Formats: sequence, C-alpha cells, structure tokens
Amino acid sequence: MKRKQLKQKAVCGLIAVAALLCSAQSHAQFSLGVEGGYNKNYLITNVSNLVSTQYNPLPGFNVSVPVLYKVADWFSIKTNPGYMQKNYEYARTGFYQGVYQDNTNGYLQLPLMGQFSFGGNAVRGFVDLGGYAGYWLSSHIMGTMPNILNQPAYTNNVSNTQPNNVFDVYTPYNYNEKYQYNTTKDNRIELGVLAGAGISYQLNDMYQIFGEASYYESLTDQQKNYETQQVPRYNESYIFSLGVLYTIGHKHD
Amino acid sequence: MRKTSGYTSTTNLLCAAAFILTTLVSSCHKEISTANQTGSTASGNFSQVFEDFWTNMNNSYVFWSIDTTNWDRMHSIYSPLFTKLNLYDSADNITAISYFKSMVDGLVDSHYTLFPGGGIIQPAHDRKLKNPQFIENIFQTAPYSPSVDGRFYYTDAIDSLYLSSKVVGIDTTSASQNVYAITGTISNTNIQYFAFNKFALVAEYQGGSRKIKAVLDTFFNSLTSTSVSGIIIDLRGNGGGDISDLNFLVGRFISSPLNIGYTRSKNGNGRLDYTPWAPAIVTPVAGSAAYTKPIVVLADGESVSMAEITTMALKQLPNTTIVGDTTWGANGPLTINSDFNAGSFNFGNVTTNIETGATSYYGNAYTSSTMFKYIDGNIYEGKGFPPDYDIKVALNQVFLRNNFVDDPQLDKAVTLIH
Repeated sequence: MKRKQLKQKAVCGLIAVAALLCSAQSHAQFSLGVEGGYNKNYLITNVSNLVSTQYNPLPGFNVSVPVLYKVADWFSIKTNPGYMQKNYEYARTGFYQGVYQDNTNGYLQLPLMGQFSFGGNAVRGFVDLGGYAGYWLSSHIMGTMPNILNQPAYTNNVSNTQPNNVFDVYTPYNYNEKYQYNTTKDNRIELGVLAGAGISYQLNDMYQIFGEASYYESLTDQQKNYETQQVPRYNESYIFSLGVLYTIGHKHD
Repeated sequence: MRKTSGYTSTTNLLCAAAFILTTLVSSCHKEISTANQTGSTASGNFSQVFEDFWTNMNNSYVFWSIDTTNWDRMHSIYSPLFTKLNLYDSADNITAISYFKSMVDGLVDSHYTLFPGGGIIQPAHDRKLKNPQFIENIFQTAPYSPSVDGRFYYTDAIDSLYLSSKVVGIDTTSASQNVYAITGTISNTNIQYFAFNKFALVAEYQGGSRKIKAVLDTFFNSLTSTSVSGIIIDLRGNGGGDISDLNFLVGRFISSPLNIGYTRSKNGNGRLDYTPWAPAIVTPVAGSAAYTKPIVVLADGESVSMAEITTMALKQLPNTTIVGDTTWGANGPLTINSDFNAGSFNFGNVTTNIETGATSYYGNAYTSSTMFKYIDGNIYEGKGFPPDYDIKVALNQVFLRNNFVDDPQLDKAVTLIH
C-alpha cells in the first residue's frame, strides 16, 4: 500500500515537471550532450533467514545522452536517456565461502528531472531531482556453486578429514552464461526516483562540461507480484559521471 | 511586467515540483519483510506453526517451477483454519495433521515426507496407492532383504532356483544397518546377477561388512571376466541412499565422464529463485574400461531415488536395457538445507530448553535440496522413469503361489542377454 502511494506521488511529480516543460517561455534553450560514468548498485532485499548468505554491491558503468531545456537561469528540465548497469553479487560466507553469483544487469533508462542551478557564469553548481523509467534489457550471471551430482572420482582411500569448506564436500561448478528471464517472476519495468548534485564549467558559448554524483532508487520490485508474502528487491544505485553539453538553441531576450 | 508574472507562475510550479520530488526522495523508505529462518520462529500457537511451515515451504521447496500445487491458495484457505486450533489440544492436533495432509497432498516431490506433531504424511506413497497401475510390494523389500515380517522370501525361494552360485552379504550392525547384497551366476547361463537393497556400498566397501565387500569384489571382477556374457543389476525395491555410490558403481562401466543430466537448486527466498542447471556427471573409477556387453537393469515402482538415478545413468550406455516397471519418481538429490538453502527443514519452534538450548520443533519436512533433469530434457520427478520392457509384477507376486516361483521380469532380463 505504501509503495502504491509512492508510485502515485512519483507520477504526480513527473506530471508537475512535464507541466513545467509545457509552460516554458520563448527565451529557453536546448543543450545536448554525452555523459558517462561509474556506478555502484545495491540490491535491497532481505535474506537474513538464509544461512551465510548476503548480497553485495557491484560496480558498473552508465552512458547516456543528456538533453537540457533551459527554462530560466536557475532551472532546466533535463532528460538523460541511456544505458546503465545495475550489478550485484549473491555471495555466501563462512563454510560456504566461494559460492557466489555476479549479476550483470543492463537497463535502458529514461529519466526526467528538474535541474536547479546556482553560482556564477562559468562555474555553476546544480541539483537534479526527478524520476525515471527503466527497462531491464539484459542480464548475465557468472558464479560458482556446489554441484551435488558431480562427485569426485571414487578412490579406495578413506578420508576422515573434516571439511573446512563446502568445496571439500562438493565439486564446484563454474558458470558464465546469459540469464534466462522468467516471465512469471521477473519484472523488467522499473520506475524510481533520482536525486543528484554536480558542478558545471562553461567552456565557451557552445560547450559546457560537468561532473555529477547522483542516486537512483527504484520504487518497483524487481519481481512481479507472483507470490504471497514476497520479499521484494529494489535496485539502489550511486552514480558518478562526467559529461559535456553542446548548446543548440539560444535564449531570446 | 508580463515577464515577471510568467516567472512568478513558473516559480510556483517549480516550488511545487521541488516539494513533491523532495518529499518523494525523503519518503522512499522501503519496508522489506523478514522471512523466517528455518524453524526459527518461536511458536506458541498453531497460527505461528502454520506460518513457519508455509514460509519455509515457500522458500526451501525446489519444485515450485513444475509443481501444480497453488501454494498461495493454501495460505488463504488454511491460515484462518489454523487460527482456530489450540496447539496444546490433542484433538486439534489431529485436525491440524489433516490440514497439513491436504496442503501437501499434490506435491510433486516424491521424497517428500512430513512429520507434523507426531504424524507422518507421504503424499507420493498415498498417490501410488490410489493408482490402479501401481503394484505395491507389500513386503516393502528389495529382492535380497528381509520383508517386514523378517523373512527372506525372495532369498529363500528364488535364489536357489535362479542362481547356480552366489555370494551373499548381510550387514545388520554398521551405521548403515540392514544392508544386503548378493551376486551370482544365473543357472545354465553365463549371466552375472547383482542385487542390493540400499545404496550404502562405499560405506560397506570401505569399512562395513566383509561379506558385502566380498559380494562387491565378486561382481566387479565379473565385469572383466571373459566368461561372463552380460550382467543383470536388480534395483527392484531399492530405496536409494548415498550419492557417492553413483561413481563407485556406474563409474566401473565407463572410461570417460558421463553426463546424465542436470541439477539445480535455490539461490534466494522466492519460489522461482533458481541457480543455473549444473551438469550431472558420473566420473569413472580409475582404470575402468567401457563395458560393452549387455546390461539389463531391473527396476520397479519401488526403485527410489539413487536406484532411479543409477537406472537412468546406466540407460545412457548403449548396451543397457531397462526391464520392469516405471520407477517411483523421486529423483531430486537431498542434503542438509544450508548447503543449498533448500530442502528439508524443521518448523514450529515450540520450546527451547533454557539450560541446554535444545529446541523442540512441532514438525519436520523431508524434501529434496535439488531438482534433477535427465539428459533427455525431461524431469521425471513425480512421474518415474519408464522401462524399455514394461512388465508389471510385484516381488510378492512372484513367489507366493504355493511356493511356485516365477519372476517374469527376471525371466525377460535373462532372455535379453542369453
């Protein structure tokens, strides 16, 4: 119920930003650019009931094409369509150390945000607030798991050694393959909110470079609602990116 | 003036948008429920026992992708019913057991056994009894093991007629108690016969009964004997056992690794959180050669678990024929739950002894940790592996008619080789 309210709020926010776009004045200008960077994604879920099991964040990259529509000196509407990895690791600890699965997930994303800027003519700071829609485009899994039906070859030697690790008991199976989506389980549409802050430098009338740290938080479960008492999973991403913007329209005073 | 007015309205919108977005980000606090650790929930009433059982089944059962049981529906039906029961009322406990039985009745896992509140529920066995095609071995025994009344019917009646020479091993003392094995030559043939009642062969060979080791050595030696024309491995009534016996036994018939299928388990709490399929491999025993003479495996509806996997593994060899009946249909290997975060679990932490820390549970579920898919792409869990020659007869039907012995499954096996 709470998530539903959050979704409604997100939709209201996006509508408000869209309304801003519609009410833009004739003095506005467009900028177009490229942006890329490094991110770290966390899978937020609960596996505390599973023995020696945890999810760890993994790094990824993101590339996008920022488009700014400058409404006022201090405010722009920004979208930033692009590709973003949201990777994480399933890992086991203790006796089960060595069992893991790295999930490399690619998302196509369409963020829409308001950019509030401040500062001088050349160097300006800015804050982004908005929401995004994403599509889980691809997924690759790589890991190691115990293989219960691939026992070591039989020998006549009797071993009384106590195992120290799961792979003293089972043969490890290493895999590196494309993840097979499950249409019952996997929710490939992701909606969320974002916030960011950065600094830009105006090189000349046409070009501007910028750096930004931002935070993307999914409001939608990575799984469809397919079971009672489902433990949800959300992506949370911390992004550090650099980019350049080219101004293609000029303000008319 | 017009310009100022425009900016004023825009500013109002901006403020509204900023407020909404700020509220959104600041309010994005997610509440993620905590799933129970197996048997960890202290249960003071039947409602908690039920929730603990339902959740652990949801998390640890590996067959949800092929099972037709609507587990969500079970929750909606039985959750309100369990709330009406008193955990400490014996009549209510009987009612609870009947509820549990209804919940698990259709589970495909044919290892599945539930022990709720002193009861025992075996859905696969119940289904077998309802199936007119299924012929139950009323003695619940493999050929060369004692029946439930302690008599060696098959041994007494058949081996003297079918086997011209034999070596018998019985171990009733070791940790893997009641292991029986026999090998010998089928009368008037050069066919080597081998039967045993459970897969505890490595344990017996390395530290168990010397007589069973003698049986195994005799059989293994026959594999390289030029005078032997073929072998019969009798897995009828064999209830399965230790996975390590797969390489120990089947590994003597191959010279290179044999891929017999795939297994997968769970890697999360979700019903459909699965690992990838890992190849199931039989590794040859060092120095073994590919066995090229005819092999006949006898299997029936009470060949279970490792007896089925062994049957399927041998079927991979081009010279193997399966005779008998469709196997039980319990193919998913088992181990402790924590190894794969799946499989057997306790539920309903009823009491914990303050002094010893020992926990008493309301019940226990015995279930597979992994799902097995045969090399042909089929999952035979709940179905059983079909024979090449379907001859439906139970062991108790072959030697009770005035001590007249006729084992048509064994007869067919002999005919195929001889």
